[in-house]
Amino acid sequence: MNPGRARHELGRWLRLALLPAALFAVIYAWPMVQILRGSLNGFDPIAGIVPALKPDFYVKFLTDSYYLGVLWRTVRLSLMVTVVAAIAGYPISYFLVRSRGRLRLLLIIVLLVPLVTSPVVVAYGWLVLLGSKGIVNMALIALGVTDEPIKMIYTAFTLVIGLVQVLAAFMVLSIAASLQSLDWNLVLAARSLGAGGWRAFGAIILPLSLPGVATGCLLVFSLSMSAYAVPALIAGPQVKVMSELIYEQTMALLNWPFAGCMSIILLLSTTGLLAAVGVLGRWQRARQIAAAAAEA
Amino acid sequence: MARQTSEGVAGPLGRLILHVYILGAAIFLVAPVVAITAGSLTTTQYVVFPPRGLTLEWYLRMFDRPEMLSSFALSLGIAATAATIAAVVGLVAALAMVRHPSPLNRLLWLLVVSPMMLPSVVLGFAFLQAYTHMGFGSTVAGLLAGHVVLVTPYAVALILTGLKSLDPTLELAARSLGANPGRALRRVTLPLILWSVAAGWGLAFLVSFGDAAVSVFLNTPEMVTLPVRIFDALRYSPLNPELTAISSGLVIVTLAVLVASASVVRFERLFGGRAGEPAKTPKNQEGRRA
Repeated sequence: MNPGRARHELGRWLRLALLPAALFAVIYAWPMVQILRGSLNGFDPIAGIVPALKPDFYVKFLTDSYYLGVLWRTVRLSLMVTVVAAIAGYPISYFLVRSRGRLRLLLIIVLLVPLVTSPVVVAYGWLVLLGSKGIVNMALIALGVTDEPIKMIYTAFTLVIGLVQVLAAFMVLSIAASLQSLDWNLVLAARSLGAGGWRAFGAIILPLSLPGVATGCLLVFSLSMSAYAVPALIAGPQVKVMSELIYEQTMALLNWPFAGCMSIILLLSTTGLLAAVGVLGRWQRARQIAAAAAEA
Repeated sequence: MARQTSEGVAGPLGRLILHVYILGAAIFLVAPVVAITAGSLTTTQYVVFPPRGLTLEWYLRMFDRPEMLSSFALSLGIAATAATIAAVVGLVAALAMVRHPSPLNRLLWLLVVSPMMLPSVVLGFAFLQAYTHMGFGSTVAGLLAGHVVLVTPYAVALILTGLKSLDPTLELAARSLGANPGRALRRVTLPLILWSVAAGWGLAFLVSFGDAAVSVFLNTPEMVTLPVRIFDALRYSPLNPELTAISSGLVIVTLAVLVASASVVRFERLFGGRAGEPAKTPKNQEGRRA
């Protein structure tokens, strides 16, 4: 490509992209940079924000067992949501890819409903279903499982159930995308060579769909780490997570530097964990390949 | 072929178990939404599912709560405006990314797609802090700007899918028949990717319309979007049937947009290449260019 042509290309690119890029630099990039800067400020309950360049709030967060406890709870609950969603979602993806026509369209719409409905309304629905007068408790009493309503709302268990329901679609659609592109002739080949159904599944379908499972886990984990409305409504103050801490510091205590600091910590812990898992996965694969090469 | 393997993998009993499981999962997925919509028809003074008796009283009561209706209108307006801006930005950004390979595309991608990967609470906080500094922290403009950032990634992602699945030879054919680039874009490319623009608009609308995590930071006492209004009310009186009525209003709009987009978009296309129509890989596009 000669320089004149390249300049022409750049000109055409700029004509298209300059305006959106400038707009997002102002309304998105700048606010994100400001979090980092703002988190190094000081805070006084009376005077408000005190300009400074000190990592005091980071030290406070990382040495206080209360804040670390909330961070650890957020990570633990998000991992649980991810594992449950992967196991529960896999059969749905499988069914989605193998079915055709109206049934498939219906299932896709069913999957999209919790995804596109406001999380506030979905959480409200769980409050109605799982409350002490809710249909689930009524059914349990009618079946004689329990005499008194079980306290289900405002618990970590319900939070996991609620988040799995809200985020299931991300997992199912990611796995389905990788099952869709899988070469099903491989399965036929394995079957014709005498492999049983489950053997073919374990040896071919599952390993080849793992990239989709990984994408789904990545999405579900990061969305669980940052969910706000669902935890705030169905888990309440008893099961507090990071996003609620950030909201509380910003809006109730007006301590913006500390809220910024917790935002950075939430971002770093999410991306850090995902990166660590990614590195571990690559290392594992490299080891397997080396082992297979040594065998051959 | 598909039939043979699917029957084989787990046998008839396995198929039965799978079907029962899918039915259970579908009920689980829609249960809370159904509970709210059906619960809003109850005649009791508290929300209960299944509803006892049927009445539209709670919907009529909504007209005595002007703040609920103004929140509804605000949410519709913000969602429609933010989705329209997102679709325009998305179309332009996607065209730049697909048509004009440039190292700057990485930067563009970072600017318009990465908000999807950040916690919305962090976005909300960042917007509040920075917009307040810039002087439009608690205005409609600030709320709208926050929503535009929140929803644009969805529009970009869907429009990119549409552009990438398009056969580039169609536009080349138009060009070789004498159409200039603008005309080829308007008469050939745009009509062919219109479904993805519509899907992008729909998804952006729904994300904005349902959002609470960003809005909760950018709202003011006089300017409260519907999900935040419901959210606040829920903390005080969770089982008030009036709230279910306004919530089902929200659900009805959501489903209407979802079904409308479903009729424009064949959802299967979102999975990429379908049988008989292989996805265009970047490799063969590069080959053509060289």
